[in-house]
Amino acid sequence: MKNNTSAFDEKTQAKIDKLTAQYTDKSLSRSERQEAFRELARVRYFADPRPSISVRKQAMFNAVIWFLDTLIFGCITFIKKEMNEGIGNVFSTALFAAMMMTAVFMVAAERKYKKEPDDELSLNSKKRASELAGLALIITAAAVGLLVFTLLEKTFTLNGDNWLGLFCTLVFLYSFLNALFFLIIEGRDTAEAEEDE
Amino acid sequence: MAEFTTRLKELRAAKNMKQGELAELVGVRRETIIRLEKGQYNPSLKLAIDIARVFGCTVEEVFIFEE
Repeated sequence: MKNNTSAFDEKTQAKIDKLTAQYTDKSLSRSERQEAFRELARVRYFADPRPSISVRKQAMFNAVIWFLDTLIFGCITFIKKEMNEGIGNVFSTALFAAMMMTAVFMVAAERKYKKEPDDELSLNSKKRASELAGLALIITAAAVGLLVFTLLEKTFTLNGDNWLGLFCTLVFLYSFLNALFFLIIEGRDTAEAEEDE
Repeated sequence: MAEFTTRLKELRAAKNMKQGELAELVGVRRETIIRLEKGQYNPSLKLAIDIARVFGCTVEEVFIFEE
């Protein structure tokens, strides 16, 4: 995890050194090392002076980015072939540039803000969300395929030109569904809605 | 999910402790403490023990499971 603070105080640095030694100690079990890593992330998080993004806001941000990337890659893969070559190339270049901008935006946000680390509740929610996202991906892909092949009577041939586009579209779609289900499972942001009393 | 109630709010008030402070002590988000207080989340054994240790009492004194 990148250290963006100029220096930690002695107590914090001692704690970080101890946890780093634990995390890199191969004689410990995997779960002990994972626990040390999570604790290390928390210590660094509280010592980092940058403004924070909560786990929920990270998921909202991710959902928007992955949705845009799914649309972009989907358009490049499936719609470009319907256009003539000149317009298709301009279209795909513009979309690809838009996708690069989302990547630049993500990197800029990563540098400016610190991310709240996961705890057991968010890890449980994320695990459940990934199960649901996998199932939803299969159902969505099947439904879209049926719609395209039966109602629209279009065909899609998987070849060297489009297999990467299809793969990336499915990966981005899975990521979007994952973030979306996490937000649904987490529910309302009670930490923001209620006063810390 | 097993039905349980907690004395978290009461124990925090006795120590004049905010949800965020408790969350930081036990290594979770404030959101998790809010869900625990409302009985909307079953904590892991480790988290339950860590919380009990903060208040200097047993797990059964913090989390009350209804039969």
